[in-house]
Amino acid sequence: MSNHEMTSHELLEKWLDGEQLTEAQQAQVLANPETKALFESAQSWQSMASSYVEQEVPSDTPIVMHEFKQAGRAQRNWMQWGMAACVGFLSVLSVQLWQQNQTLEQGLVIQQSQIAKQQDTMQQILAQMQKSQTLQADLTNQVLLTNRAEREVALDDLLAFLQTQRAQDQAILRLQLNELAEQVEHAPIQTVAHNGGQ
Amino acid sequence: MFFQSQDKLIQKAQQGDQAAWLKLIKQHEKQVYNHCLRLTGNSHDALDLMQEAFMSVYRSLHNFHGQSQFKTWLFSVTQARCMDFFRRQRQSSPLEEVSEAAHTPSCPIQLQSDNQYIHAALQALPFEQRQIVELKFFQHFTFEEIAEQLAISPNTVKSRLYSALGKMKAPLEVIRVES
Repeated sequence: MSNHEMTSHELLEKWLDGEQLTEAQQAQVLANPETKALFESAQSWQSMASSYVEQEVPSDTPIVMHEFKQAGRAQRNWMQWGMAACVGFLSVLSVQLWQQNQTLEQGLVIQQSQIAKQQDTMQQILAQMQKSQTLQADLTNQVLLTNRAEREVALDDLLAFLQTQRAQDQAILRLQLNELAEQVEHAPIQTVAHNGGQ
Repeated sequence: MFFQSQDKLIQKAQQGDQAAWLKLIKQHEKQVYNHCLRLTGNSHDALDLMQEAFMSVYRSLHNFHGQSQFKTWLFSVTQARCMDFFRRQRQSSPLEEVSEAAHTPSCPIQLQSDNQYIHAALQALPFEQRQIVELKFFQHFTFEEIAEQLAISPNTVKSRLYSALGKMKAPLEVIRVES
């Protein structure tokens, strides 16, 4: 059926179903008193519908829809479980980390105390070494001093001995000279050499 | 990743993803709430109806295979819940016509906003016609889609709509004169 063959009722239905009418078609609808009244009434309804302000769903009214609540509750439960699992996981992780930290801290403390002990030992060894060095130096000095003193004493003794020997030799020589002199004095003249006269 | 397509959300919700289901509700709750509000005329009933509708959708979500748009399917479920609601209401108060008459916009000056007037105008219609007006002018469904949602023929939809338009002619004219 072409548009020209449509009745005013059919055109009204077409318009009511959301299709646009041409001016001629609209005129055809308005030409019929029955369809004209319906058309105008429908136009009024359309304008009222477009001016209608959609109201918000009251949020303060408790919604008793079981499934709705269940769905919300299920979601909340899921989220709560998720949160609880996260919190649990994090707490276990933190406890493990804390334990690891504690172990590491203990290890560090042990290592530090061991290092401190080793440092003490080293310092003691160093002190002992210094002491022994000092002792050795003292000993060396003492040995040197003793040697020097002994040497001096020995030299003095030697000098004294030599001086004594010399004195003894001189005394002996003096005695011998005296004897000779006596012999010469007491000997006859012939036996005395005349070194100057010959 | 933050903006998922509706098909993806539906697929996930069908697989039991609660977050996807909540997103799906969030996307449509305002539309459904306002739809129910216009049909019932008060927010308490609208909230109850919206909850019933979403519960039904949740329970039968596995039956949705994308044969129609999700919005069409959602509104067909909502329509079914609305019809149940009005059937129950009709049983508890058989003088519906009297109560409807009390809501007619005979004195629109007392109504303080367009919304209130629209609510009153809709309440003046019988439920079956109100449904059609709501789906046609506020949800912009075609006659075929409305027929599919309400499980009636397109001709019945048209006749109900024309009856509603005929009835509303007088009050709308009153409003036009007053404004």
